[in-house]
Formats: sequence, C-alpha cells, structure tokens
Amino acid sequence: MTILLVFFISGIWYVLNKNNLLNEIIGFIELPFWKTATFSGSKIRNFFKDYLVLVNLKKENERLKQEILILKSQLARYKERERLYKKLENFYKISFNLKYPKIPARIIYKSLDPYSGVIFIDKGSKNGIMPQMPVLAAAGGKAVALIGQVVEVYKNWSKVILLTHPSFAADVKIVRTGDRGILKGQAEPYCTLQYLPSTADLKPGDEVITSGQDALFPPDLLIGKIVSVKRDPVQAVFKVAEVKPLVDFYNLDMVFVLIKIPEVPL
Amino acid sequence: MYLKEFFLVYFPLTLIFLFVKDFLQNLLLLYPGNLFLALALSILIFRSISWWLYLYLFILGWLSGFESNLEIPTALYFVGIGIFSKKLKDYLELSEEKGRIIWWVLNIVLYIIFRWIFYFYQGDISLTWKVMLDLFVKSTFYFIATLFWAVICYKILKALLIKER
Repeated sequence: MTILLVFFISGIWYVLNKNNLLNEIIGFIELPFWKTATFSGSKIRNFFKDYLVLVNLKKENERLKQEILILKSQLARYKERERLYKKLENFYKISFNLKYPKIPARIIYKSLDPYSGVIFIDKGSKNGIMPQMPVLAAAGGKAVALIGQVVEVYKNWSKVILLTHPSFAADVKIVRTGDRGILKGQAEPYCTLQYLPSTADLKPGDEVITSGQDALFPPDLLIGKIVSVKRDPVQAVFKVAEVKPLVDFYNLDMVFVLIKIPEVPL
Repeated sequence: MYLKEFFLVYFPLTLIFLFVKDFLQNLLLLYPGNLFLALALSILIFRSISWWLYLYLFILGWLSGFESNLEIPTALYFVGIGIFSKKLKDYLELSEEKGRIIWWVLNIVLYIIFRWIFYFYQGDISLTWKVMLDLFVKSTFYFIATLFWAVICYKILKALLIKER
C-alpha cells in the first residue's frame, strides 16, 4: 500500500514538474554534502598541489642559486684568464725586441710587507729556470722593465730578489746622459744608484736602464726613474741618486723570466 | 534492520559515505570505487533481510545509479542483490573470510557486467581493441577499489554493530 502511494505521488510529481521526486529529495539532502565535499576536496588538493609547486620552486631556486655560484666562479676564472692572456699578449708585444726567450711565471708567494724584496714564482728548474736570470714585468702596459733576479731555483719554484732587495745590484746607465752607475737595493721603496761620476748632469725624472756591461742583464731594460740626486757623503768624487722602480711590486702577480744564461767573464 | 537502526546508523552512514566519495573524488581526481555497493554488500553479511533493508538497498542503489542516470535499474539491481542474498545466504559461509571474499567478488563482478550491459546498450560504442583495453583497465580499477571499500565497510560495521550489542 505504501509502495503504491509512493509511486502515485511520484507519478503526480513527474507530471507536474517533469522530474523525479526521489532525485529531488536526494538532491535536497545531498546538496550541502556535495558542496562541502567538492569545496574541501578541491581546496585540499590545491593546497597540496601548491605546496608541491612551492617545494619544487624552492628546490629549483636552490639549484639555480648553486648554478649561479658555479657560473660566477667560472666567470671569475674566465675573467682572470682573459686578464692574464691580455697581460701575456701585451708583454710579448712590448718585449718583441728582446732576443731572449721568456717564460711567464705567476707569483705564488709575496710577503705581506710590500717592500720585503723577495717573491716566489711557480716556475723552477723543470721549466729551464736558472739562478741569476733576469726577471721582467710589464711597466704600465707600455714597456718592459727589470724587476729582479732569480737567486734560488728548485724543481717547481724559484726565489726571486727584487730591485729593492739589499743583495740586488746591476750595472745601469742614464738614458739622457749615458752616465753609468751601480744600482743597489736597500730594503726601502727606492733603490740607490751609486758610483755616478761627480760631473754627471742628472735630474729627477731621468730614466734608468740596464747597461748590459755586467754580463747578467741584457742592455736597455727599463728599471726606473731618478727621484733625487746628491753628492755621495762618503766618497765625494761620486754622486748618488735615488731611483724609483717603474713597476709597482705590490700589485704584481705575473712576471717573465728571461732565459739568459749568465755570461761568465773569462 | 529496523526503523531506529535505519535512521540512527545507516542513514548517517550513507551521508558520511556520500561525503567521503565526493571528497575523495575531488581530492584525488579519481573514481574512488562504488562505496554504496560496498556498503550494501557489507550490510548484507550482518543483517537479516527485512523491508527496511530492502528500502535501504533501494536507496543505496538509487544513489549508486544517480550519477550515471541509471537510478531505477541500479536501485532494482540492489534490491535484487538483497533477494539473491536472502535465497543463498544459508548456503554461503559468510562468517568465514574466504566465504565473504567470494561473496563480494562475485557480486562486484556481476555488478560490473550489469554496468557493461547498460554501457553497451546505451551508447553507440565501437568495440576496438583500444576501447576494450580501456574498459578492462577501468573495470579492474573499479573492482579493486570497490572490494577495498567492502573490506573497510565490513570492518567499520563490525566494530560499530558489535559495540552496539
């Protein structure tokens, strides 16, 4: 009886509304559940999706940061290489007239005291370096200047004394006047030029070059400029001058060893 | 099943299942299996057949066919399961796990075949290998998911009903 009544009511409902009564009831009851389930399900799914995206973004960000660091270090390396390459290119261009072969070497140790007068280079006997060989550097990118001399040679490295070292000495001459003298280091920023004739007409700014008479250094290598001249207080027949080296030793990072075997006078 | 049980246990349970099904569907973007069939199959193990149970099966069937526009055939099919169960219950060893699994598997397979019949009847479907493979994969997933829910429902109902007693 109840079933028949239900069918009857459903039939009337269908005639009047053209839809199903039971679906209407179910829809009415279910509607809040559908809404809640759909909303919460989608929200939670989106939350996890966004979370995963964020996690991936974080990982991606970390990866990119790492990549940037690697690229930056590579770039720095390439820039350094380019700088060295330009230095080398420039040096070989300006030292074209020197007939001796040159070996580029990097300074591997330099005392914190800029005027200590000793540097270590990364080339040794393995590379053909020998004691007393002249060491050069580009001065201002325009000329080749003498900066020191190899004193001790080991297999993979060598010790070089700079112009300012007290053990350094070279026979030099003044470009303008042709006067000769002995340049010596004195553990100070400037070198001393001794045994200049008392008649020498020297002025501050005069360029000093190697004379080639000492059999150690080839002639015409730039060394520095005269800063001051005075009479030698001990031996009055000579003049003495202070010479400022052309090369800034403090900022030096690459030098060239001139493969010149010392000529031992017979 | 009686009136009090119908309104206090099964009706709220159906609403919860409705929510769970829609929720999972939206969360996973997957069909989570037929929860109403699983519920029906589990209840049939516990409860003796009564008019309330037939009504409940009818409602579950209706809800099951609601989405596929097969409300009446599905509802009648669910009532048919009830009748089928009443006739065969004494011959099935439903108190044992093996018997229950066979009962569930048999019913789910029959239900899938029932859905296939309507699927092929309703649509103009060309039976290519691709279509058949797709149908097979979907049906397998449907079968596994529904069986899973049947086991879950059984465990929940067992806990609920034994506590009630």
